[in-house]
Amino acid sequence: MTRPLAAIVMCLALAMPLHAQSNCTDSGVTCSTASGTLLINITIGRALFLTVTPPTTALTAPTAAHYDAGFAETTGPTTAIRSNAPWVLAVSAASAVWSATDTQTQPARTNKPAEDLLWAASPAGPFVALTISPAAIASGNASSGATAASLFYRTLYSWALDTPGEYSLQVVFTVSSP
Amino acid sequence: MAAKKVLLLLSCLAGITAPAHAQTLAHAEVTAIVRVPDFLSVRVGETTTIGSHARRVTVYVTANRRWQLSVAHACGTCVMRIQDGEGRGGNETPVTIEYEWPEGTAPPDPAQIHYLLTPA
Repeated sequence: MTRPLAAIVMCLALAMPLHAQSNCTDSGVTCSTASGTLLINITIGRALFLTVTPPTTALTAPTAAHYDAGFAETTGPTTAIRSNAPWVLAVSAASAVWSATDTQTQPARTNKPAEDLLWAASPAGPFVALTISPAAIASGNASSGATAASLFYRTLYSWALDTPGEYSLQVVFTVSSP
Repeated sequence: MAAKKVLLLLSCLAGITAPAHAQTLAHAEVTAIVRVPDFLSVRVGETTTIGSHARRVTVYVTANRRWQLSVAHACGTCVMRIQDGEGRGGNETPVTIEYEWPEGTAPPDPAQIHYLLTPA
């Protein structure tokens, strides 16, 4: 379902100091050539196209070893930007806590903080906790769709806190002007 | 899966100018999701002898949920006491089990004692 996004707005102003044609008659008088100036003014607005794939990332299901280590890692989404002007890409969490759905008799943890999902621009890190405040992850100039950033996730797990269940977190990508 | 795409169309009607400060131009939301299974494990730790006909065994429970520990054994005349046989998620939570067997009889075979950890 690809729908090209382009924003081009043109403001066209025409100045038309066209002068009236000289009179020509059939009396043999030489006609003068009509002349004028046409001024075209176009204003191109900012055009920007952000792509994030995939829309859903299935995080690595934790094992006992992940619990012991305190985290599990997953390759996250990739972003691409087409823009006709400089841009800054930031990432944040849509909410302060994960959505939790019970899958066992034990209730899922309802207060798992967004900070339990960390992101990095490379597999080796450094990893930064996701918060509801946008954090810049990449920036660039006008570009035609090269990858802006690939994210890598690290999800934290605690034996004492993270009960069984299905957990999800909305991750927000925003692009702004520098 | 389809990519999430965001279109932003900005300004440019006559008389409207872009603000000088940074502004959000595009925005997209994606989902991170995980299903966490339950984990329950028990590890038999140290055993100490108490007197001539009693023994104390410490087992360690690791779980990410509430649990209950019980003991199955074939020693009909033994008395067993479990301290803190229930608990919440945690790593290596110790549980103490004491066995007493009648004086003059053989102690229970540790291999015949089974520790059962179940979700609570």
